[in-house]
Amino acid sequence: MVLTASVRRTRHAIIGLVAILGLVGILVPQASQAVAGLGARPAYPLKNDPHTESIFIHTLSPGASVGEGVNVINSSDTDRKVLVYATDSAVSSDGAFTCAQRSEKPDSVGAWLDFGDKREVTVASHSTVLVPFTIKVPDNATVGEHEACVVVEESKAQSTSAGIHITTRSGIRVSITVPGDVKRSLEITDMHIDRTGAEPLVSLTVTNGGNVSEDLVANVVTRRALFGNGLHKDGGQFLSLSGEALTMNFPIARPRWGGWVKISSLVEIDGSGYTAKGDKVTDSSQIDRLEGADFGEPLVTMKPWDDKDELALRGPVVSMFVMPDAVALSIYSASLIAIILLVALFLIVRHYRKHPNRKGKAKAAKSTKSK
Amino acid sequence: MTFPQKVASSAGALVAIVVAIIAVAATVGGLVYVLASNTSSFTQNINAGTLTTDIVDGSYASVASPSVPMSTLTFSFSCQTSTGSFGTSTENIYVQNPDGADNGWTLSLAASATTDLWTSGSNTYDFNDSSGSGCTDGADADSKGGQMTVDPSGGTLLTGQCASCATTGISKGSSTPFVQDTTDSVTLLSAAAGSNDIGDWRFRGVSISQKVPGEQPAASGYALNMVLSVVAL
Repeated sequence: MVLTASVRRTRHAIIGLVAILGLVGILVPQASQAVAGLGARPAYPLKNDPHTESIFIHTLSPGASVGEGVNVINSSDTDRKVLVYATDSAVSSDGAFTCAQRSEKPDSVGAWLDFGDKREVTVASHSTVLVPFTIKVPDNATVGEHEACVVVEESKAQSTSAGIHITTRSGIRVSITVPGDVKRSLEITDMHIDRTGAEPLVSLTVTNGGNVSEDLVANVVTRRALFGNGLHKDGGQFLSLSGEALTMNFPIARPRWGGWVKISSLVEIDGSGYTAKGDKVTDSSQIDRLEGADFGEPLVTMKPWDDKDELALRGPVVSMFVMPDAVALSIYSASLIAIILLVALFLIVRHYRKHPNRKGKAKAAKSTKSK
Repeated sequence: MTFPQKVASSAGALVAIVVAIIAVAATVGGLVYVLASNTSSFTQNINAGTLTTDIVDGSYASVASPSVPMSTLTFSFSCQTSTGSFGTSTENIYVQNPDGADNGWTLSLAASATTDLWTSGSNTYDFNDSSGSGCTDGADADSKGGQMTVDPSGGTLLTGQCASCATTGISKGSSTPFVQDTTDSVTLLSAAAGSNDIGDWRFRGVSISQKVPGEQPAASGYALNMVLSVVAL
């Protein structure tokens, strides 16, 4: 086919345009699916304590004060107006740490934090604003650990539609220890199967009777009731606040074939600072044996303790019957039906073997009658 | 032009070209010479992220005015229950931890004030009164019955956009009714210290049930303000 010059030029122009558009498509940065990231971090973390990169931690005597700061970070594409404020700590359900609401004026440890007049700041997109504040411990502060919160919340108008209107905010725990006679006390106070919700949970409660918080490791082990072989282990490190009962929930391990299971618990903490009494474990081999300990042990209360080794509390053992899953249930049902049919067949065959001529005799009797 | 003149002219041109090249090279080379160093360092700052929570759609875009609709009821002389689901595929409860919380975190839901009420104009009912199984007014300051129960235990926890994070170490809260001054906040998720320090998650299907007292006036637009809080531990 012979192309005229104008056709050739047009074709070249189209090819060039397509190439340019393609290039633009590659070069122009695609709009990122950025989530509205608005949060905060401590502005002055301590090099020797990595935990201070996430939360505020101080040891302060009564009457002492310290300057602090929080970096409010806006990683979204729009400028944001942000409220920054202190609150008292609060306990959410299951003993979890949370922050009181902005509507509740701090009257406890939250009142130790002073943001001055700086409560609302505008943070430009992809930028950080440092908001300073001071922590001042009252002269009559008691010994022990005290908790508060620093919260950032976007300042925006509420929805007017029907239903539950949701506002989101981020909080940072503030942990202030007033030095002195520190008391540590932990007790496993409850373990049961919680069936109130849509899914049953193993619910383990540890009560902290001391005046400092504890980082504890709690593990729940599920074993077969018959032979004791282990099925599942769940757990983790959790924060137990002083004076509070922490409830940890774990999903129930469901062995495919179901059956009776026994669920035991073990709580481990750093034993330094405790003084001796009660059932204790001092090395990992004992911990392993305790996980397989006799069933039906009573609750163990750990009193103040002077052994510096790691400490473990063992809780009660809970038994429950777990239903097999759908596949196993089908196999069980099919097997049961097959067994019933086999037994029935066996009985029928045995019956006719015992009485082989019964049918023949009945026929003969019938024919005699008809004659 | 004579031969010598031609030679002189060509030589001159050649010299001019060479001088020009030298001049350019000297200029650029000189700049390079002045500015060049043995090594060039490239710097890149990556700022640490922060622990955040939000309500996002299926594309992880923030929902402007997130809300949880409750099932519609018809006027009744008896106490009845409306239900809703907090966290859906179009309004996911979303938590992002880009190394902002290294020792765990909690996610909880509470009303913006313990004295708040479901409100439509002048019509109100409570969300945290346990009297009469949540159907009648108790000893609290308001004269309204009504109680909300939040059940995260049946919800679905999924990872988000992270390449390799998991839901390990994050447990769901148990079914809990609000009770004024006793249970003012319900835990939806608790992340242990061993959970991923870098990760993001979506949470859906938190069941909400609300007892509505009998003879509650019919009205559209009953609304309640609640706050979703994520806290670094």
